[in-house]
Amino acid sequence: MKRMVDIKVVLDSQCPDPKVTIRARERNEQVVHIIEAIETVSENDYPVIPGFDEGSAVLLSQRDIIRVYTDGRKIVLQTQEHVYTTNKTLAQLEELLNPGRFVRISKSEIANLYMVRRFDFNNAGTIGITYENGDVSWVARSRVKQIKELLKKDLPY
Amino acid sequence: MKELRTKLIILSLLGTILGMLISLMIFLMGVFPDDYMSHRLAFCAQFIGSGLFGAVCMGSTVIYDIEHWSLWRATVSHYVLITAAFFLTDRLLGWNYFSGGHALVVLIVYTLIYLFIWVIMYLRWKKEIRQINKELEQLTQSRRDAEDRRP
Repeated sequence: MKRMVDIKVVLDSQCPDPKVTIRARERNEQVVHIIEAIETVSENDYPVIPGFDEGSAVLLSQRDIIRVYTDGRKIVLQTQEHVYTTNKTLAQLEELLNPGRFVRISKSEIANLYMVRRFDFNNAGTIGITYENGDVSWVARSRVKQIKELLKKDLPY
Repeated sequence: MKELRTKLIILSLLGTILGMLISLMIFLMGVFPDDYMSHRLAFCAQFIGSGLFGAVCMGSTVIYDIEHWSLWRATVSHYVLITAAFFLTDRLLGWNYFSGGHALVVLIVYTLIYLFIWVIMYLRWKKEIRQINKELEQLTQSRRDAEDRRP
């Protein structure tokens, strides 16, 4: 039997951005598909980022970017398998990246929160960040508030 | 860097005003001997010196805003700076906290207060990061559940 989806649209002038609430008995396969479909549409609002690797340009989906950081004078885009450079500045990238997924963690780095394994606080009092690919970096204390705010948002998963 | 500089200037100005006001209050409360404050120069020295000490005290808190410095490094640097400024002002203005037999006691109490504040800050941050990790874990778990259900 096909499971039909009821769609109800409520027009609300108080809502500047569309807000989707999925009501279901459980988080099943169908719900996951709906989330993915909505995410795909939503992600289209956020452009792919051009990265350069040994002279060739690659268009990177924002989902694949683990972090963006400065390495000397270069801006580096890190994905699971590769490291790309870009000619955009961190500030420009911050404008382009999905604010529901990416957060500035220091003056020199932007992290994809979905790709973070854990944070830690060492004995010297430095906040560390470990990414899913094992990369380790640090977080400025002044940026913790923004990370908390992003985690408190209704993230899709 | 520009933000840090602006913050340093604003805080130093506030510290100067606060230091001068405290100095004035102490003068009005009559803490100093009558003949001491009858000298205009001595009063001016106290007034300006207190202002400068206030500027260092408040201005130096920007040390904690240096992003790549650990909490320990920032606290130790702040401690050294404030102690040096305190020692210097004490000597120049004759506050006499760091002289005589009680100098060591003052230094120990002062250091203990610093350590206490550091421990409080350390524990606060530890708790904060634990809380963030808990929320991150929920996010990661939800994502993994969703990925597991993918056909």
